[in-house]
Amino acid sequence: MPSIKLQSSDEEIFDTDIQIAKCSGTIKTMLEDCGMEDDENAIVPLPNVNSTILRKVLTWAHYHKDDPQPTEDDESKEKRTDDIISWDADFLKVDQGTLFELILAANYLDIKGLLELTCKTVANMIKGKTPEEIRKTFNIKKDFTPAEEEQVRKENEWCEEK
Amino acid sequence: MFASTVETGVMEVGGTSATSSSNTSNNGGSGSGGGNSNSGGAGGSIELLCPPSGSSSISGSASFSSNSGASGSSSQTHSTAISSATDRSNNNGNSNHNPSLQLNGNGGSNTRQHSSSSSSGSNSSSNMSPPPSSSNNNNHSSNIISGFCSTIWRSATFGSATPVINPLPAVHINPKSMESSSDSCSLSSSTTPDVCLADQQRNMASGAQEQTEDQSQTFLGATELDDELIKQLPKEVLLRVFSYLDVVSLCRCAQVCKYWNVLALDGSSWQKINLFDFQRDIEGPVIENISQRCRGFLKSLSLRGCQSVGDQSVRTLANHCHNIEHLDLSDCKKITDISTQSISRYCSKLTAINLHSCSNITDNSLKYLSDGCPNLMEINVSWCHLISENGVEALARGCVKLRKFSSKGCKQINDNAIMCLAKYCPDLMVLNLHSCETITDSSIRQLAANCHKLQKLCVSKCADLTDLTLLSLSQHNQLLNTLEVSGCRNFTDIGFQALGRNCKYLERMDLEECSQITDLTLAHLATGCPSLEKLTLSHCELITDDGIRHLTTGSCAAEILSVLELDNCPLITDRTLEHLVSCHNLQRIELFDCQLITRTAIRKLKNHLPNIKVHAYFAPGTPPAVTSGHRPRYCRCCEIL
Repeated sequence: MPSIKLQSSDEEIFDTDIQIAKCSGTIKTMLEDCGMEDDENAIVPLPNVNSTILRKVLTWAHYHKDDPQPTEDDESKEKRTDDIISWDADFLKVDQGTLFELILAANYLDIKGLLELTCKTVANMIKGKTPEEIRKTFNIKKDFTPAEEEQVRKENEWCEEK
Repeated sequence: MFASTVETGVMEVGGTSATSSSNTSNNGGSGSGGGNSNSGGAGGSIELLCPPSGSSSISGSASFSSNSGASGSSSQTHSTAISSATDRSNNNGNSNHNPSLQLNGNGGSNTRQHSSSSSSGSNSSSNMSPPPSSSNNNNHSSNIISGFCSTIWRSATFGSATPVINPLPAVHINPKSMESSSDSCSLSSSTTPDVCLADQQRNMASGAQEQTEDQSQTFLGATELDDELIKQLPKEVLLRVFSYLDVVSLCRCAQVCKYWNVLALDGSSWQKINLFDFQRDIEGPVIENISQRCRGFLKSLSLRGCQSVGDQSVRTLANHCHNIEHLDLSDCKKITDISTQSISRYCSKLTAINLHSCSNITDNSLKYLSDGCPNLMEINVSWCHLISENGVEALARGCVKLRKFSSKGCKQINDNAIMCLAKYCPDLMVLNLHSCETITDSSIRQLAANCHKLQKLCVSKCADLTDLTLLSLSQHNQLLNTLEVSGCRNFTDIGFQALGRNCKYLERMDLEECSQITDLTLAHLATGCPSLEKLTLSHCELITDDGIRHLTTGSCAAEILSVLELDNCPLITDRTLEHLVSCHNLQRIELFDCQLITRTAIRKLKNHLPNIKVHAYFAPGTPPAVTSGHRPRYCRCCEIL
């Protein structure tokens, strides 16, 4: 199986199976458009991803290398968040900073499966929480004035009526 | 050369909040697709999600940001990658490599990309990197931008769904819509002044015309630093997160902070709403709130089982949400023709409506829909027992695009009704006439002859039908993939022989209680239907082991056949199960009341097919002697249509 070299922002080189690297739409495009696929020594610089995150991304990609490609149908069907497999759940037992960096990396590298997984995970962190709990979870400052807050609360209280 | 590619990519990713002008220029140069491979593909998507009329329409701006540096960090990345790949020499000059942006994903780099992209392919993009100090946190500007970023989400989805081929969704500016202010903004208390938005939009519009400078930097004000990690996330990612949230969670997110308020109330989060999981006893005020919040954005709403919903609520909804396309009102038992009247008046884009079990609905409803909803393609009026041929005739005349029609249990639906559908709706693909007991061969024959696209047909419990129905289906409807004829006792091997000869796409067949069919039918299906996946033969009492043997030698058997229902086939024995061993894909088999099947044989089958579900019942102790009495029938939960 041919491999390629990926270079993280801190200049660490990752020798990677080409099929695994190609789960990233970004890398796939680069390889195909630049005709690098057959070049054993080509180095793909990924200056947006550091080695810690890239290592995690590649671990994920390795585990999911046989997943079917998501189709457009998947985009339109109902969104679920309770279908995260346990390996993924364990994989994402990381601090928030890492989680968000993974999202950014997945977004940048265009890895649909990982982006979906990480976004679902964040959605699960939001679900079932009150606004105050959400702020606490993500360390978000409340920038409403009391009057604004009251107004926003009124606007949205209908969904709390059971 | 290659390095430059990547570096450009970096910049684009960094440019989370850089707005508009890159795309304005793209838009402006109407023929700009040239250098960027085919960008047409995604254009359709955007048109779909822009509500073209009404006060809520912000389509123009929405499309903007979908394409802007802000939203499309992924898509832009691609576009850059591609452009640099195709015009490498051109891109050499526009790289500003700044690795420090890595963590500050939404840093405020202003990108001017393809600023004058024309078909010449001269993508003279120049990327300006801001000082690192300001690159961390520009949520303030994001706030402003996000007001009109609605629908960003769908297009962002598209961007990443077709990342390489369609890097830049084609965006068409609709100047009219750009003048209207954002729906979400007006709702979102005081976060984003409409004026500001409008200004911004005008700026963008002018930018589009001039195809030049970056207007957005005006809005990239410096903001304070803080450690709200989640603010690293570009807003299209946050919108993606929100897309997984239900109505309640979205409303709570709207109360978190100003930025979230804008995003959570973004129309793109409210395009599809299913209140089934929300609360069944949903009342008028909730519908009113949803209507006002979603307005033109709402495209799909399910109120299935919301039994308190009445005409007044539906009227409010129709009044506000003119762009709704899919409306599920099944089991909203209170609604009457008044509801459909208001839907007909305001919702001309409706393509699918489900009125299942809305038992007050009469022919008048179908007349209203026929008048006001010419785009209707799917309608379900099952168990609306007041519906008759008059309503169906009106519907068929007005809604000629109809593809799906379902009228289970509408006993007044007769041959005339079906003939009208056949006459006016040639695109009909799915027809469910379960228990429309009076229909005869003559209407189905006409249907078969006129509606060549027919794929799914259910005429279960239409007991007057004969082999003539099957013959004409086999003659005209080669695309048929699902046929349910449970309880059509007049059907014989002759009919199914014809079907097996011509309908090679058949996947699912329900032949329950077609009590005249014999093993010959199975032989014909085995040879003629290589796609057969689910076959129901319950109560086909003449079927023997030999028939099953035919089936298992057929082309569908080894890999395709996954469900086989043989309950109440009294003649089959353990040999049937021996034959079935070769059906590797078999997932489920029904054997209730197959008195000659033994436990041992089932165990053997399970040894060969470990994942198979076998449904059988063995009376405690020895199998009872032949009982002619009625056993409770197995609940068949797997209806196809």
